[in-house]
Amino acid sequence: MSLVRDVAKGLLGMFVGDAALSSAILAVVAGAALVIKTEVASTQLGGALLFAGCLAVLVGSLFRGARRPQRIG
Amino acid sequence: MISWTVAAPAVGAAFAASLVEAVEAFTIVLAVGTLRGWRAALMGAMAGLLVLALLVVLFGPILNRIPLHLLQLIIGVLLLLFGMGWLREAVLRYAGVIPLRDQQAAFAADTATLSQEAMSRQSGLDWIGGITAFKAVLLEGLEVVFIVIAVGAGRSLLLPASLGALAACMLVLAVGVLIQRPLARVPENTLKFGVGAMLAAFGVFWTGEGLGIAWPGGDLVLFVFAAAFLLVGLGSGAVIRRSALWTVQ
Repeated sequence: MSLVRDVAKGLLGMFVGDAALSSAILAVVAGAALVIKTEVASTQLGGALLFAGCLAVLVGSLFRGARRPQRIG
Repeated sequence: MISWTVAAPAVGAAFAASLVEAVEAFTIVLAVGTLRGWRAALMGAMAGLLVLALLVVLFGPILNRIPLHLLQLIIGVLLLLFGMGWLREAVLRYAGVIPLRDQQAAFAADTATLSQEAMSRQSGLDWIGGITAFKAVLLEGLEVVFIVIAVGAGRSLLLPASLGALAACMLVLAVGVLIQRPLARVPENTLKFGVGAMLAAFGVFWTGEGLGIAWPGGDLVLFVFAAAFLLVGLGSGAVIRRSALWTVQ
């Protein structure tokens, strides 16, 4: 069971190494999808939101990460 | 007809990412082999490869059944989660927030853990060694398989991406067998930095395509995305590095 647990933990860790980063990425994707699917703005604007949102999430995550002790993976 | 504007980054990302994963798996298999002999290490590694092959054979055909836009969206989001995670870690290591990974130290730590486990469990080291090698190959291999599928599936580039990954694994194996030491001189963090930026760029690209966005410039926009992630990562890393030095002073 330890083997299965370790593999499952490894798989989860691939995509959710940092829970706050993963949640923020999903929020950006959901926001872009909402803009595009509800036709609030053009798909191009949705794309710009997705791209800029991901860059902003990265910067935020890096500076937050620099302020607190890290778990070394 | 393969478009090299997407194929080149896909093959490059698969090669570089697989190089990182293969080096990490090799360090663990080498620790098992050195501590107990190569039988347990090779049996475990072969079993790991076998399970990986089975997973690919079992789940590979499912990819063809998923509608293209949905596949692009799923893979895009997973790539964003995976690639930005790698990029974040690489930037924090570059900035000095997390220590750089040292394969020699990792090798020593793996060897110590194996010895400790064998003593505490009172069982044969062969068994523990084999399981350790199996887990290393399976877990690092799963990342390689994911990256190959992620960068290759959206544009029917699975074969070139697989060849890129295979070339990296063969290279690590050949050099590793030759020197029989942890591959400490591979610039792991630099590779992770570049691959993280590339995978994040693919993530934005596929997610956008999955949502129905027609990117301006088509496939070429990938390079713009990758350059932006790289520059933002380098810039943030430099600022964090400098601010950390100020704190120390």
